[in-house]
Amino acid sequence: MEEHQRWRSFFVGLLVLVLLAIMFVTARPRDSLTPVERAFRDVLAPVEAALATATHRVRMTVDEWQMWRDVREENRRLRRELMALRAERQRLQEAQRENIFLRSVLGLARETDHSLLPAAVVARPISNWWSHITINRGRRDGVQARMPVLAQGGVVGYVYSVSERTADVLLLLDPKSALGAIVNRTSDPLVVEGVASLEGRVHARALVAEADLQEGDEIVTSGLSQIFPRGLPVGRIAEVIDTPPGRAAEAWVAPAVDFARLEAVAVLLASDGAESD
Amino acid sequence: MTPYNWLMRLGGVLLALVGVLVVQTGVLSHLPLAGARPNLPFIVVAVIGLLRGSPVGLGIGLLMGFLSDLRGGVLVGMQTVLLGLVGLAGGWTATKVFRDNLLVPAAIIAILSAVYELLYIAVANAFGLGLPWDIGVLQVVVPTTVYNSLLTIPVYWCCLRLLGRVRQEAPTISFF
Repeated sequence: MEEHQRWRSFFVGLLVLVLLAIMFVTARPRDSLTPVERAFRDVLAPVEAALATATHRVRMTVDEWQMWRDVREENRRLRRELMALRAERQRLQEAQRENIFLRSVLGLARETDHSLLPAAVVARPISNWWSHITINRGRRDGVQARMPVLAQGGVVGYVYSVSERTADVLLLLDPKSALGAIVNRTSDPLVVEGVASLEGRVHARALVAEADLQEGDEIVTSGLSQIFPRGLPVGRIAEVIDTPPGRAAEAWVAPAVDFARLEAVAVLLASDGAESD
Repeated sequence: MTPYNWLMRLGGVLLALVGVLVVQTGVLSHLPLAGARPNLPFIVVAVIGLLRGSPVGLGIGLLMGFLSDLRGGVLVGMQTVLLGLVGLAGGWTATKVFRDNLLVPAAIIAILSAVYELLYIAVANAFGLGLPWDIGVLQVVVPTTVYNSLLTIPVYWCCLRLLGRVRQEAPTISFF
């Protein structure tokens, strides 16, 4: 019995040591996943994609049902006509949104000499502490680590790990995320950093003491980060933070992308002549 | 139990845990409430600990944690350790409190959830990942705890129906 106890303590100790060693190794930034992680993600990806699509549809249905109820309460007499118009308008808006997105994608592709790979969001993280998404494109589609990811509106983040069929994208909101940006109005350089918060805002810190930040200023990528090309919209300054004199200006930035409802993104693939990591 | 039966049972448990993981990443993670996402793997481990005791809670916690780490762990191994502890703590708590009211497990899981999230910040920061305590507690720990405890009631009810309770008579459920 005593020996059994001793063996059990030994195994528990060994397990803790092994786990601590793995945690120590994986705490450093890494571009590639282990073969076991890659295989596990690739196996789960189709199921997750199906569930995510079903969830989006249910959510859309619920949203539409709520809208419909409000309209009925507001104007019972025009209900039928309004419903028809709304359905029609929704279809048109969808087409218009798609049109704008495709036009911007086309324009961007021409401007940056990069090609864009459309992708769907299939999974989100378990923990609230991290902000990353899993997309249904992976190594076999040409996706590599450190490729920028965009959505309608602007920058989403960048790819930080890739499996054969999926890729994990680190969002701007993640506390590990930082990118070089400039204020479009003044060209003052900034660093935009993610914060572990559920408010969906990111923190911007000016890199020069005399930087002039104002509410509503548009923030775009600076092109100095080796990941993002110059001029991609990041967001707008929502609130300038009071800082002591002599310290560089800081602000809260509302991202250009609605991360809570992110369903489709595009990976900015490297141009033919570009070096890959 | 024969080795074959044992392997079949382990396979069934692993499949169920993968199912929980997929529901989390494919469904619940897309349905935030006030920005917070619930943590179904955590809730399931804590509830199984409550219903089946510490050894089973620990085992399920380690397995679920390992699968979570494989699926998308920022710090591989952290979920294994933390969910193992959650299962252990759930089982230990079960010996101390009266659980026949559905609000009791919800309250226990609210406490466990807050402790789990705080431990998460502490361990992540010990490995240099730099999570903020002040903003984190207010904007992540509190809403996540509330969401987890709300989700506990249906999860506990389902687990109770599926697993029953070991070494005790059939429980009765009430809200009051």
